[in-house]
Amino acid sequence: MEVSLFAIGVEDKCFASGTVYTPDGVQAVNEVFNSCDEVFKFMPTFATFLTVKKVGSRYDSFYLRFSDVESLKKMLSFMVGESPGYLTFIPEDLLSTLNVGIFDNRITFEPVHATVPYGLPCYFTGSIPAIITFSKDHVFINNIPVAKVTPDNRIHYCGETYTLEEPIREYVKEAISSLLACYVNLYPGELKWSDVVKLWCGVRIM
Amino acid sequence: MVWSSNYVREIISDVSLKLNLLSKWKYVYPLTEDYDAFLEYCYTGKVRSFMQLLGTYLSVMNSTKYITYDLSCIPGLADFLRLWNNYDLNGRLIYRATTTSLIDDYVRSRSGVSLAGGHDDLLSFWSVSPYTSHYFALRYIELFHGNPRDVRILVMEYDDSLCSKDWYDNFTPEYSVYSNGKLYNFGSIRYLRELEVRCYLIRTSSVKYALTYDEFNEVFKYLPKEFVYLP
Repeated sequence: MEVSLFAIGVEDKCFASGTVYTPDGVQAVNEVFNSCDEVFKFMPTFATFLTVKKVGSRYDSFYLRFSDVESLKKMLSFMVGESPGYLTFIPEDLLSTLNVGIFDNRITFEPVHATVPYGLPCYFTGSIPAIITFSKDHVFINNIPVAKVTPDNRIHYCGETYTLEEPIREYVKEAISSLLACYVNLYPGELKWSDVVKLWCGVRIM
Repeated sequence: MVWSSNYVREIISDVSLKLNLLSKWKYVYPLTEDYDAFLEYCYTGKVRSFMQLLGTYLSVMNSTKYITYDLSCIPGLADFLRLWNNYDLNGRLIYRATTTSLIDDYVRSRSGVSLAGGHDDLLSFWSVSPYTSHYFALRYIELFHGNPRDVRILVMEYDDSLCSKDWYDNFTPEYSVYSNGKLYNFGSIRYLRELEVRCYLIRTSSVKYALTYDEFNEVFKYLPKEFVYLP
């Protein structure tokens, strides 16, 4: 996913959520600033895709600039494999000095210290296991039946019926959002969105 | 209905008691108008789609189940929704901008919001905030070229047996359910600006004031301007 930050200015405050590149890696941000100008000074960030909106106006999107070359070098190590769009505001001579390149429309940079963690939101939110298993005629999430498969090659879940036109495991990969929604519907007790996002992050098809 | 200048004092007093809620609301509702962009930037488009799909499924399969918004994405929203969901409206006024054609023995409405278990036209849409009525009255006159003489701003005391605040946390389409004498209202988070209360089977005799457009504007002069909604 793109490391990106969304900010809205409301009166004398600026509300920002998303992720930013920092010398220590990618970090999640959910902050209230005194003005959207402060977003640009927030930590030694660089090249994060930033969208800023003022109430009543359209979006303005751009990339954050880097603050110093040493921070930039560290941050580039987390950006290997990402879109070259992030390099928009780095002077070409600096790119050359740092030996930053583009290969197959992706950033390359040596030496590679680390890469952006796979499944970035889940890296920050954590996960709750949502283990998907199969029997001859059912699909289960955490041992709770969420879908029934009938001999006429139909699958029934969430009160709807669909025709299976591919193997059940392939179908489940495509329909995972719907099946997980059925499961959440059966989730006991108080339901919180943080649990829902964690369940999304915890999906494993066995 | 009672026609009295008491309404000026009562509405000013009512708004002053809601200043804490309104002061927090004015920073949060503009964020919810772009809630999908926030969720996409925090959790990716796939998760944002899943959240919206889940809200829609819940509205069909388990229409009175609440999900609580407790995410840090969209700064301040979780705190505000907690304040809103726990806000005690007993003894407070609620407001509705409408037209004379929708008032007979009952307060009626013409809205696309579906009501399961009741008659849609007897579900009426109110707000904790007179600023919402101001917005809808203006919209009726300026956008739809309605006659100001047809406008009425209804004011009544909140009645827990007939009314309920919108639950905005679920990210569902807007709908209501009337079940076992209780009203469950789900509002779209995008319309948090309305601070909506929906009521069912409101007899006109329960309405405290039916203000004309001019009378309402006269009151409005005395209210703080910082909460006026300007789209």
